[in-house]
Amino acid sequence: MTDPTPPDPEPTDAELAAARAAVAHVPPVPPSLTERHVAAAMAVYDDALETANREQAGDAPPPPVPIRRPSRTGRVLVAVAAAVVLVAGVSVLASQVGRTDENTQVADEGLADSGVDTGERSTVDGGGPPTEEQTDQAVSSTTATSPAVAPTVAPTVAPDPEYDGVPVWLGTAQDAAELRTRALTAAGPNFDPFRWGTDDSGSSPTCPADAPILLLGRGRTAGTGAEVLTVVVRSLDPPVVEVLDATCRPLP
Amino acid sequence: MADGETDDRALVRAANGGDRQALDALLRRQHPAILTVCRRLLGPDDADDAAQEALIAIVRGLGRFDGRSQVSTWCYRIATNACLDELRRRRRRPSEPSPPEALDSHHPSSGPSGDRVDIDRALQHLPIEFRVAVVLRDLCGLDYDEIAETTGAAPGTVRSRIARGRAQLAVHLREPDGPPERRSPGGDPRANQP
Repeated sequence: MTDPTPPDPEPTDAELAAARAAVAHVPPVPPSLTERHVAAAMAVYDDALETANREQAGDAPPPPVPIRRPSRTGRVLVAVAAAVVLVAGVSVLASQVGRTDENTQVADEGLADSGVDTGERSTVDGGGPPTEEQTDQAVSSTTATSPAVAPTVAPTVAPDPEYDGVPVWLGTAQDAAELRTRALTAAGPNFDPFRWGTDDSGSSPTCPADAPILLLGRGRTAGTGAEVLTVVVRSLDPPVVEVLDATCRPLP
Repeated sequence: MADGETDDRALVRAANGGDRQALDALLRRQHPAILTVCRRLLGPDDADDAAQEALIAIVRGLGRFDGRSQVSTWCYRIATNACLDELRRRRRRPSEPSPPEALDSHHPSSGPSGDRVDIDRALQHLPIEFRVAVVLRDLCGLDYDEIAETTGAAPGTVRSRIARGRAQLAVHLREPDGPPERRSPGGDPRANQP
C-alpha cells in the first residue's frame, strides 16, 4: 500500500531529547484529586478487611440487594414527585417557622394585649400551634423526600478547577471513610462496586444537575453500566447528606 | 531511588501486615506517577478514572506482589493495564469522540496545565503500541525486558516501537497540527503481537 503522506523530516537529537524529557516529566497533582483517589482505594481495603473479619467471625453476609434501573420516564416521574413533595415540605416548614406580614400584624396585636411573646402562630391562616397530625405529616414528608443522614463530619463543597469549577466534595480520607460507611450501611453490604472520587454533577442522567455531589461508584451508562450509589451533599449548614441509589431515589 | 524503593518495599510489607497507614502512604507516593502514566496513555479525559482503577487494583493485588520487580514498576504495569482496559471500554462506547480532537478542547494556550496537555495531546497521535512503549520507557523507566513482559511483545519489537514512537512524538511536538497519523490510535498492544 502506498502512503500518500510525504515522509517527515527526521527529528534531531535535540528534538528527541526534548520529547523524552516531556514524557518523563511528572506534573504536580491537585491534592484534592489524590485525596479522592486514595480514599477510594482505602475504602476498598477497608471493605476487604471488614469482609475478612466477618468471615472469621462466621457471620454470613446478607443476600445481595438487587438494583433495577427504571426507565427514563420513571426517573422523570420520580424526580417530579420528589420536587412536588419537597416543595410541600418546605411550605410546611415555612408555615411553622416564618411569619407573613399579616401574621406579624396580628401577632403584634397579640403582643400589645399580653405583653408577652408566646412564640405561637397567629390564627390568620387558621393556624395556631401545629396539631400532632400536622406535625406527623410534616415529618413524614420530610423523611420521604430527604432521608437525610447528618454526618458527624462537616463536608465542604467547593468548585474544583480540576473539573471545570464543578462543585465537588472535598475532605480528608477519614471524612470520606465515615461518609462512605454511612452510605454502605444505608445501601446494604453487597451493593457493589463502591468507588469514591468521581464528581459527576450535571453530567449523569441519574444525578441532579445542580447538586454539589459526592459520588460513590460511577454509572457508565454507555460503558460498563455499573450500578452507582450517589451521596448528595444537600446542605452544609447544617450538614445534610442524602444517600441515593442508582436511580437517584433516596435510599430508605 | 534506592532509598525510595526500600521505603516502598517496607510500606508494602507493612500494608500486607495490616498497617493501614502504610498502605495510605504507599498509595500517596505512587499516585502522581500513576496519574501521569494514565494521562500520557489516555489523555486527560479518561485518565482520572483509570488512575482510580489502578489504585484499587494495587490495593487488591498487594498480597500478590512478589518482590521480583520494583514496587513502582509493578504499579506502572497495573496502571498500564488499567489504561488498556479503559481503551477497550472506550472502543465499545457508541459515540466516543476520537482522542486527538477531544483533547483539543482541553488545550489551553496558557495556564499551569498547558505543558502537560501539550505532551498528552501529542502522545494521543501515536499508535497505542508506540505510546505504551514510549511511556513505559521514558516516564516509568522500565527496561526493554520489563516492557516486553508488560506488553507481551518481543524485546526487539519493543525497541523498535520506542524508537519509532519517540521519532513520531518529536515530530508532533515540532508540528502540533502537522501531518495526519498513518495509523489510528486506540488499539491494544496486547492484542497485536508480532
